[in-house]
Amino acid sequence: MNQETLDIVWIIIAGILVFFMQAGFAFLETGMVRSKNSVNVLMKNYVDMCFGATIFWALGFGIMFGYNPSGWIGTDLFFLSTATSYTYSFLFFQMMFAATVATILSGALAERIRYVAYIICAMVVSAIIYPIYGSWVWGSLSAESSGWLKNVGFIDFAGSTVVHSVGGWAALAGVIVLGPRLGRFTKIRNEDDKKKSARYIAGHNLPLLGLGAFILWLGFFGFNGGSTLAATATIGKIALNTHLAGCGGVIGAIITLAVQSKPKLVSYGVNGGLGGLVAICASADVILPGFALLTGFIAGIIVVLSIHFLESFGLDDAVGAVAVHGFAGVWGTLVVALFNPEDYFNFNQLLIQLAGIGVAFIWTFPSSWIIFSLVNKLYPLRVNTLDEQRGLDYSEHYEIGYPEFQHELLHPGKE
Amino acid sequence: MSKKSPPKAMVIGWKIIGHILLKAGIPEVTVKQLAPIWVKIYQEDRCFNPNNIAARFSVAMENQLISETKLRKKLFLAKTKYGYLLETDQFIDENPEIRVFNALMAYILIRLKEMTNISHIQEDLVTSKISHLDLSANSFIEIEQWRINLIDTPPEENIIELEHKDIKIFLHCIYTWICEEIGPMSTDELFADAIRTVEAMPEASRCHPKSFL
Repeated sequence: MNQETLDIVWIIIAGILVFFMQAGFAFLETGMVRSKNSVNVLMKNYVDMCFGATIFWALGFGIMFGYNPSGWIGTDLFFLSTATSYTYSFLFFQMMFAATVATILSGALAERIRYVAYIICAMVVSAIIYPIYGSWVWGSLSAESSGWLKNVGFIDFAGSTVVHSVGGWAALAGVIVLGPRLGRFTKIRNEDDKKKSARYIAGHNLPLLGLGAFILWLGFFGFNGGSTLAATATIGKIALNTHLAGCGGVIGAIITLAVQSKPKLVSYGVNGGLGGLVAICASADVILPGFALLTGFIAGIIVVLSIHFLESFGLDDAVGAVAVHGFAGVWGTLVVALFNPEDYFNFNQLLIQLAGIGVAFIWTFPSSWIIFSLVNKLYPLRVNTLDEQRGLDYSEHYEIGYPEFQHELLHPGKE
Repeated sequence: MSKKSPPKAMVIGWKIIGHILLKAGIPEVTVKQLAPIWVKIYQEDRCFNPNNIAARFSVAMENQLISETKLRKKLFLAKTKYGYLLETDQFIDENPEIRVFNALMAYILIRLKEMTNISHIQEDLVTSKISHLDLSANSFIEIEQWRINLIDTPPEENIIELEHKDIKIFLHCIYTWICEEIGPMSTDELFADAIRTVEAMPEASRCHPKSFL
């Protein structure tokens, strides 16, 4: 087997692992919502992958990896039909990344977004918002052109910012436009009540959440390992760093909760681990294993603190996606400049990384907010409160996840 | 709905009362001593009236063994659950939909008070929510009267009569209000409990409480 074939085999295997992350997201998010919304969350994950992949093949791939003379946007490779085997494999792998970005939205907006509206927004993010930023950092496939952020020296190996923060900031915009779930925060009754306090809405199936978390963890080996885009010897270090960062994330989250004298909730532990895995994406190929553990550990702390930070503003992220993908992604991108063994604490690189992070936010958050608001004007994003009462399984799909156990609050028939 | 003979209803009523009292820790001897009071109440009222029963029994026990409020709540819940066995004269000709809806509302409000100390519906609910609902004028007046009555009338005695369409709208309004007061998880549990209890009523076979959701 020659090197090119080996590379292709590795990219496809890694792509399959990233595809399997969709199952992880689906299980994790389904477990974290109430049973009356479980089918809806599962369907969103299943279908956004299909629409996202289709639109990315048609449009997104060209924008992101097409010939990019300006450094701002790709200009060919749309509706890719004829290409080399490597390019086919590369498209397959990148398609899974695009689906991941769309799925980040799903969890944050769970339990109150209309199904069709969600699909529209997820498609716009997969087709336009993510590929445009991606073209600045990773573009293009042509050796003759490159993205402007890449030219400046911004480094993001497997997408702490390109994939995760972009997904996180888009989710944040959606969370703001949609508003919180019914009863998620206490009411402000008078001037003495300065802040709304958050109410915990427990997920209906924590074992499913745990299984989803394990699957996502497995998928991250493909996510980071596959980002070499070649079957090289560095895969071993990347896999080890990925695993250690995930472990560090869980440890960081659990210790933070212990220090705060808060219960060690499984959702926080899992989100801490995911925060570690997200954070290591940007530097998994370079930093040393000890620093990978530290990166994950700090990411775990960031995740716990940022979940509370968002809640203090009355922002309802149903699964903690903004904290895990947005904030942990920022930290991971900074790590490139801090823990590179060949050049620790490189201040110039830190400024470049900060600029890349800032650009990601300045591009993604307002554009997503505009898209969500426009869709909201034309086709309301949010279900009405009666649908929220009955559950989106019933109102959006007219089927329920657990018919034997959801007797009491189930409306007897569709109107 | 067929009427059962008064003695049978009286006997079943006593079984229910006796069970509640014994479960509350009242000695069997004392419970037996209260039986004549029940017979007298039944002969006067010809129905199982939790309010009257609780008042008379509390006087007899000098409110020491069980408080009147606690006893009234227990009797009301038992009546909601086993009302078909008691077959009283009260509400006998009433629309089953109204009876089921009122039982549901009473259960929800009694439990809500236990959970939160909210004993009545504040005026701001009317101004902020109910006034925006698509209700008939009659229903709106009926709701407002019912809300005002709640201040000094126990929920189980405060009857509200709405059209089927308006029942659904109003119940959903109450759901959103309770969600904001106690959170969505507790609200779903409260409504599920209420439906489970009320669906045991005989009228529920003709008008199931889930049809209001």
